Amino acid sequence: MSYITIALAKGRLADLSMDLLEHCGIDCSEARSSSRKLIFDDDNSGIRLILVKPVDVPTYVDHGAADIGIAGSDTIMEYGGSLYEMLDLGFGRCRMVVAGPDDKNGGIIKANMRVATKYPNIAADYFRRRGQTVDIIKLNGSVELGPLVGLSDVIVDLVETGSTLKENGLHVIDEVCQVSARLIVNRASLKTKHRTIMNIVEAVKAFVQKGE
Amino acid sequence: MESWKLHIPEGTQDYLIDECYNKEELEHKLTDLFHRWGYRSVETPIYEYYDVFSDSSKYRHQEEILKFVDRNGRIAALRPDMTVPVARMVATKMASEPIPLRLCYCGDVFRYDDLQAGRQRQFTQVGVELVGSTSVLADAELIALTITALKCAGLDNPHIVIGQVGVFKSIIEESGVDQPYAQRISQLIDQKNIPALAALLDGADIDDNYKEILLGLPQWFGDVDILDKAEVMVKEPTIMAGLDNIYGIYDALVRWGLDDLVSVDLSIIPDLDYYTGMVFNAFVAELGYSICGGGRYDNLLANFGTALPATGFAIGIKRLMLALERQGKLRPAPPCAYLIVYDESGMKKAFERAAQLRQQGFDVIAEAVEDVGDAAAYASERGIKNVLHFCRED
Repeated sequence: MSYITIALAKGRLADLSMDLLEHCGIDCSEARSSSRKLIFDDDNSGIRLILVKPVDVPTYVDHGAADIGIAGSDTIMEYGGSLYEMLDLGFGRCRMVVAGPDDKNGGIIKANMRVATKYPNIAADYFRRRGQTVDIIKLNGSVELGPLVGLSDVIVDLVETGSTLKENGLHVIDEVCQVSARLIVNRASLKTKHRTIMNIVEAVKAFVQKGE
Repeated sequence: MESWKLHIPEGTQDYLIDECYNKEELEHKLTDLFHRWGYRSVETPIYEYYDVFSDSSKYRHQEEILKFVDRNGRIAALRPDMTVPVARMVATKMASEPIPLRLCYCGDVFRYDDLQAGRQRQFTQVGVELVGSTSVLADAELIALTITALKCAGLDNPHIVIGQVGVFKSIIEESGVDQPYAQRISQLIDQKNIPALAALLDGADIDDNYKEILLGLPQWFGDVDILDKAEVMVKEPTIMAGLDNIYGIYDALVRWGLDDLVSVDLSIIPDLDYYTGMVFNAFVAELGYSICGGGRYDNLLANFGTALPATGFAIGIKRLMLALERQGKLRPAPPCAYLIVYDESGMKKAFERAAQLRQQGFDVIAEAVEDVGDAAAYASERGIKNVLHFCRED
């Protein structure tokens, strides 16, 4: 049979995403219980769940390997492809910020500011819009370390509570954007599987609005 | 230094026998079909002066275009699409031809596309341009031709989605919002990002009625009835004209008997700013990308000195092949019909027989016996059914 494939981000968002889908009548019990499997078919509902690395959710959806995806708006923005971003699911809320050390010393060297981040596209776009030339340094984690060891002047990263920043002697300089989980849909799928997909989108939308 | 001589540039590809066979077949089938609809083939250079594309810089991002400097120091560009060069050609060289003018092409275009998206940087497009008509029936003809072309290529269940950028552009014009802001709005509409669109419009200095329409655009998609929802909110004749255009196209498609393959989506706002009216894309369930895109561009030719309306579409051959493959519609290149093996003594007769068979339309390999080795084994490996010997020992 032809499934509707939903890509979920492993980790932080997975449980919240599955809670949401279960409220909308999509059985996620197998996906919850299994630790190694990455693909789960439910023949009753015709829905296939796949579990992928969070940053890869937009890729799967953009290429049509998944019809629907649930991902943070940070990864969607960083990916930058042409996806339908249809619903703000309201969970996984945090902020994308520029942060730097408390003591700004010197100011003699006016070379490009160095920005460490896991989100080179978002960071480049933010500074370009402000007319600032910067050097972007791509890191894959522990970005807060950048300014502490002289790798970068500032960082662009997600903050939830701000405690990690504080512990590392950094403070928020500016907010880049608000971040939350979004429901994304492949462009071709919405046309060719219109009814089935809209049923899911409407069910999720009704549930999200009820919760607000 | 590392040598690259065994590699090809990112985003390019070699076409080996079976893939090349299918590609060529499709190009022939589609070009033949366009001819039968009265379109005539044209060609433009693979590279043009960059000004052709940059003068209309709003039409394409400069990063997308592959550029180089020619011997005179002028910037040249590999064509990023076929529509702009054909528009240039028509406006500068065919302005006195009787209109409407029906043209078709098959050629390679070059784009530095987003690396992440894994798209090719050189790819083949076949397409048509219908120049000189503003008629809604011209728009409808293109959609009917697209569907016929995709079916003729062997594709099952193509689905066409029609939009209308005229509706969006009229609102932007009438409400007088500035360009960067309009661009942000268009992106959010195109992404169907209703929450962000609502937030953006909330503080905007735009008439409430327009706001409601802008917010409606991402939601107005599906069967043609969806237009009724849009219609009740629209008073301005310019915006109404856009909706009427889709009704008109749909009406004509009913008479082509093709209306069941078509739906409407008012949120389609292509990146390419040269579109002025109807726009459309073709999809199949098996592929996550659009196979074909097109629309009306009434102001593009004026850029090159002749104001003529036009409408057109292009089919991406590679994407069409991907869709066909997923539907199980591609086949390997058929083997040659004959292997003729000859030696010195049979050479003349062999060549005569080969010529005769080729005349009859068969694919024939003629091979000297000492080059082919075991003829039977070679033939069976290549799938060749008939082996003829013109050798002394036979």
